[in-house]
Amino acid sequence: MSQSLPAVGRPPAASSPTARPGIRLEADPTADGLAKRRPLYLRLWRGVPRELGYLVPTWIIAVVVFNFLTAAIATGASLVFLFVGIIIVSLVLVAARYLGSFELLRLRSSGLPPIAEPRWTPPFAGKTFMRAVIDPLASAHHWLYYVHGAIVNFLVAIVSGVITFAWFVTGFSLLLTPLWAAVRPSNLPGFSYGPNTEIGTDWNLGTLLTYAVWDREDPGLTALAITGFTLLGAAMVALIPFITHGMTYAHWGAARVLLARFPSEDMSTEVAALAASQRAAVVAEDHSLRRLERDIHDGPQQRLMRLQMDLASAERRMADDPAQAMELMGSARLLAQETLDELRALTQGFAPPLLQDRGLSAAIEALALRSSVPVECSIDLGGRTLPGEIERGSYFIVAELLSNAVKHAEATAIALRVHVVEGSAEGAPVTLTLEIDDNGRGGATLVPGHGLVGLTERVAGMRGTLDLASPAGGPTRIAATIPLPIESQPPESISPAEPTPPVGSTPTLPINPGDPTS
Amino acid sequence: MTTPTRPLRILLAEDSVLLREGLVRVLAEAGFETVAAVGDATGLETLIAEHAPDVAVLDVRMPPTFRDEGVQAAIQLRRRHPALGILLLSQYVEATYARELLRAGSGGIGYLLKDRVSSLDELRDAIERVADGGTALDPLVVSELMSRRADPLDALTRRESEVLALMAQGRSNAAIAAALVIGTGAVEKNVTGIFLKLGLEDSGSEHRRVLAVLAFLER
Repeated sequence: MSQSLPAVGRPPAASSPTARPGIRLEADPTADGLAKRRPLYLRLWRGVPRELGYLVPTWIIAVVVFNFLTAAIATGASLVFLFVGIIIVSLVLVAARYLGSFELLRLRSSGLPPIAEPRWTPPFAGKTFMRAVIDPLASAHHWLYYVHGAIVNFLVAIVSGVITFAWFVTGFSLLLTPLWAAVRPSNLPGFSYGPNTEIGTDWNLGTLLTYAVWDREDPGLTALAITGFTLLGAAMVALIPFITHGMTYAHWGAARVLLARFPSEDMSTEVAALAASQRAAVVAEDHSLRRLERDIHDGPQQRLMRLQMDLASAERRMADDPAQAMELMGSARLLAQETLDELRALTQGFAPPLLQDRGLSAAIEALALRSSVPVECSIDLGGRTLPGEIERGSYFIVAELLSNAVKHAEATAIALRVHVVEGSAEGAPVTLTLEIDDNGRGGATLVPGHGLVGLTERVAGMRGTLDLASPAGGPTRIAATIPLPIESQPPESISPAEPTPPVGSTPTLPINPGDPTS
Repeated sequence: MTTPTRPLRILLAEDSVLLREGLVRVLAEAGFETVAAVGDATGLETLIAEHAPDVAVLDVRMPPTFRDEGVQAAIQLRRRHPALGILLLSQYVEATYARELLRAGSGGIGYLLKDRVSSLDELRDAIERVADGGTALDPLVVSELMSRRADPLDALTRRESEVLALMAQGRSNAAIAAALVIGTGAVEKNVTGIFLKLGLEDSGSEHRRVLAVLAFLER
């Protein structure tokens, strides 16, 4: 079973290079450098089969789609005054949408960059009849998809079809001129059609070709014509990759203009993702604050009140019943001890001291050492100091992952990797990867009621993603990928936030050896 | 209350005024002499040169960063002043710090929760132990380490587990006997049993014994 949770917090798809221009520029040279080692021309040829695989069906599909969409809209339009026509037009638009999506899917196989579709809503599900009819009519994307399928793509297909077909036929025919000349079709049995050498006195390609293949009056001119046509054919064949690429690109361009998502949609998606992640963070914080409030109220606060009561009654009895007072004092001290224990447990869950004192690496190492199942631990933060909230969040993610592996998966061996990865595919320049493998019984899911759900909330709150692969019987791999803010990119550029001195402490005191009670 | 065994000289570094005053009073009650009490770990060397204390009692979180200044200071002091006893007091205990402190030198080091201070006997015992070059490790650190290594420890009897815990805290056989209300001979018998079952070698010094036990628990 493999689940991925991209919905919340994932940066928009790779098709929006404008989202983080600076990073794209940084990441691209290496990728391009690799590809450029192969000569450009050879790369173009390698693309030819893929592009033909796209183009050839396109000529058929574009004509069929054109016929269907035109006929259907004509039917709908002619009936528009009888309401049913409106329904037909709406249905045609929905059909145009799916046909356009299919076109985008096929374009993806041609090797050109994928084009991001608009964010569609399901056409019928959960809508009233009227909504389902009106929505496509009111949607700019539906009309653009119609224009693409019924007009633009058809025209582009005619042009690309004619040019490509003519180019192929002419190129290969001319390339085969020597073969034709050798065979001399008029000498073949049954090939009685002879060339008309009396075409006229105008010299054109046709007479030249005739001259080369059939008439051999002037051997010099024949040889020249054969060579010339062969070379022309070779040149046309050599240019085939540019033709197929150009024609595919024309279709791609039409689709890019008419079928793509509007840039403003990307922006609103980004905003929605941000809002969702913020909401998740707020929800998580709200949960933990509520729990903290309840824990303090149920534990330390009750004990302190009781402590105050006991001390007050000890004070009252001091004079007349010292024995009873002593007993009360003893129990009061026990209460104070219990309160301290509780507070310590609480703050440990809030922010582990080692994390605050030494940072994430040390805290995770201590976690791994403390685990009852041996943990093979590999931590590499690349000398970075991570922002405090990311350290804390990551610590608790690792803690939950570890305890999940021990408790639920009954693992006997765990491998933990905490790495900072630069220029990963996620779109963020630098990410922190928390990855845990265990050999337990597997079958972990992200359904409510399972411990991992709290984890997704936490990860989403950090704008990260959680990937889970846990087939029944194990092994389980869970990976959390958390984008790091760009500011933390150069190592040592961010100094860890100085924790504020706790209340009641004094700032650096002048050393005062003379007075021991200072 | 109780009569002091020896007038040990104490250097105290604790940033919270409230706790510092409380500690000075408790140390006095325990019969120790606090020669200096300061709020941070920056001038400790000068104070040691001036007062020649027997034991330095340090808080872990102190100015300027409130992280692990006390631990760092303790490790440095341990290296420069082998004869000085060092006791770290903290509101929390970390096995990581315990490990670092124990490895910094050969004994004379303690790491206790501040809560333990409420028991005068416990505090006095710990300070005297580190002054003598022994070890004082908080029971919480020990129990954390022992809970981790449940498997091989299952082989121990309940009594042996108790003895192991006290041993890991740095207590002498006599102190273990007193704490468990059994004879010294019985303790020795249990210690032999523990070392046999865990495959450890019993070395003479208590500090080395603690190290061996902790090394086993962390293995």
